Amino acid sequence: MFTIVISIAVIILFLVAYYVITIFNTIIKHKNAIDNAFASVDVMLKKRHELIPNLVNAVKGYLNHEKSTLSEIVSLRNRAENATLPPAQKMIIENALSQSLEKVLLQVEDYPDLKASENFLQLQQALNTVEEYLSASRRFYNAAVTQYNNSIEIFPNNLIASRFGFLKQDVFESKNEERQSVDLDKQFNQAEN
Amino acid sequence: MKTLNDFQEFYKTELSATVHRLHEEKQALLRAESAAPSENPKIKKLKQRIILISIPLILFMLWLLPLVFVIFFLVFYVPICYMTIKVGGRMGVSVLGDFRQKYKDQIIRKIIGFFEYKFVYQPLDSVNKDAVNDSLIFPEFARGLVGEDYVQGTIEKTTFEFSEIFALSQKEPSVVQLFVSEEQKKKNQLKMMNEFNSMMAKMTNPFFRGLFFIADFHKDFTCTALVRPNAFQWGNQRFQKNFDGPTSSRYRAASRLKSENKTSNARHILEAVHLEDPEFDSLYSVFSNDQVEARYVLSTGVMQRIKDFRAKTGKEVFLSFKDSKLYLALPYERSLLEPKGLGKEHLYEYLRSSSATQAVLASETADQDHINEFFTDLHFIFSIVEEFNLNTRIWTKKSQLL
Repeated sequence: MFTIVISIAVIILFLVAYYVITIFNTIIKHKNAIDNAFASVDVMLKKRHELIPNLVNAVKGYLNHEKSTLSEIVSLRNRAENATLPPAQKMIIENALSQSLEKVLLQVEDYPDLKASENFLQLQQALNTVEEYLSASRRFYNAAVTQYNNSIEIFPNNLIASRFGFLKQDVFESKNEERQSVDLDKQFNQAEN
Repeated sequence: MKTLNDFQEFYKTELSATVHRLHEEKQALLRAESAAPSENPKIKKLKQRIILISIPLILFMLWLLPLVFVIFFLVFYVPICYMTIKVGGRMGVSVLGDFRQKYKDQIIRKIIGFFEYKFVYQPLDSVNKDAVNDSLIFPEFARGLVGEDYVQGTIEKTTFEFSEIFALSQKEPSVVQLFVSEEQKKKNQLKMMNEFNSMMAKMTNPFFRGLFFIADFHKDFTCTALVRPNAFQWGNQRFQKNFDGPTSSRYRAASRLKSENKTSNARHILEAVHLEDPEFDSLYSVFSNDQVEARYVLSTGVMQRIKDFRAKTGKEVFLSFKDSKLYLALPYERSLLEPKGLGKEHLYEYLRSSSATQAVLASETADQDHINEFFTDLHFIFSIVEEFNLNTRIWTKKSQLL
């Protein structure tokens, strides 16, 4: 009798352990997917950083009274390049950078010569593409975070997640930046027409 | 884009005379066919040829092989001969077929021209089978493909091509070719084969029948992204089953087959992409080999357009984004640019129908209605470019600095 009870207990214990391991591994997979998604955001941010010096060079001759904004852009870019920055702080800097870029691109509307320059047109095109890729990367990141958050919040995963210290992650909010590229598109199209 | 009112004006000035003349011609043909449905000389020729080949063949086999093998052979041979005479014969009713071609050349070409786009119209051609398979748009590979009404052209900045297609899971049959003379081959082979193939395709139950449209997408991208409707209903059970599991073994096999010609296999492993729009996610399954680029292609705007397009057409649309191109497949149960009463099949129906129905079908008003139908079909197809905003590419296409 004792042997049977022990055997059943061992089987149950084994099943529970197997279940816990499976859930743990699933959560880990989702967590890694977030890191992967964040890396793709990072790649796009780097591409944007690469474009900034060219953009500043192209417009600085025209936008004399926006010099402070341009130097702010350069400074924000340099700060965002710092590899030791925590992701949350980095995103705050990137948001500020987006706003400054938006400001500069709006100012360009007053300079027909600049707007017509082939170099500037290419930059705008490239910047717009990067912004769209950035938006896509963010959506990928958000999808990964949502999947992860779901996996740690549903029952019984939440018991295991809390035991192993998995915490809920924040998604990128659809704020200025998400809308920015759309607004720019609209404005550029209007300008073209 | 041109409206129906513009078209009606165009109809009055440019088309009505041709339509009237062709209507008279059609009436004469129908009268002649109703009065004397004579045996077509082509059927006669076919029969003669089959007999000429069959008798020596059977005698030879009887001499060479045991009777059981000969019987076994005949079990297959006789139905093939029967089908050839039946199908080949129907195809051979070329008086009506010729009229149909003439109609397409004189009316449809003019209607496409009315839209004022740069285009090439080939009534007997279709989009390339490789293009359909390369797009990976269907879960099944098309081993055979026939089609007609091929149009290639440019709308503003967007180059496009489309045709009606019948995608088959087996190779398109070509048995009749054996019985076509050299003279006919030279003269009329393409047309005959095309008509035969269309007919056989309908008979062999294609896994997809409808419009296949290819256009330049307004963004450059390197990924493959597939959008498949979750609720696609089709008569073919096999297709339905495959569709239920887009990552099924067949689908993976298709991906593998593709990757054989490429350097990296990993590029062709397509994974499910869960998009953030719950409505879109419930309507469509998306697969891609690049999660980020799939979202770049399927921006919120494009997702909205796909939903709008579905709402507008009431049809389940298949999409594939590959090599900076948009592939779109729209199932149709009726023939495109082949309106009722003028298509060859319908002429047979006409001959069998009651005199009251014949009177309605044969009226000139019916012809005019059909021409409006052509316009509606074409207007809809050309509007795809607009619906998907493919011409707006001022800031997105061909970034040199990336």
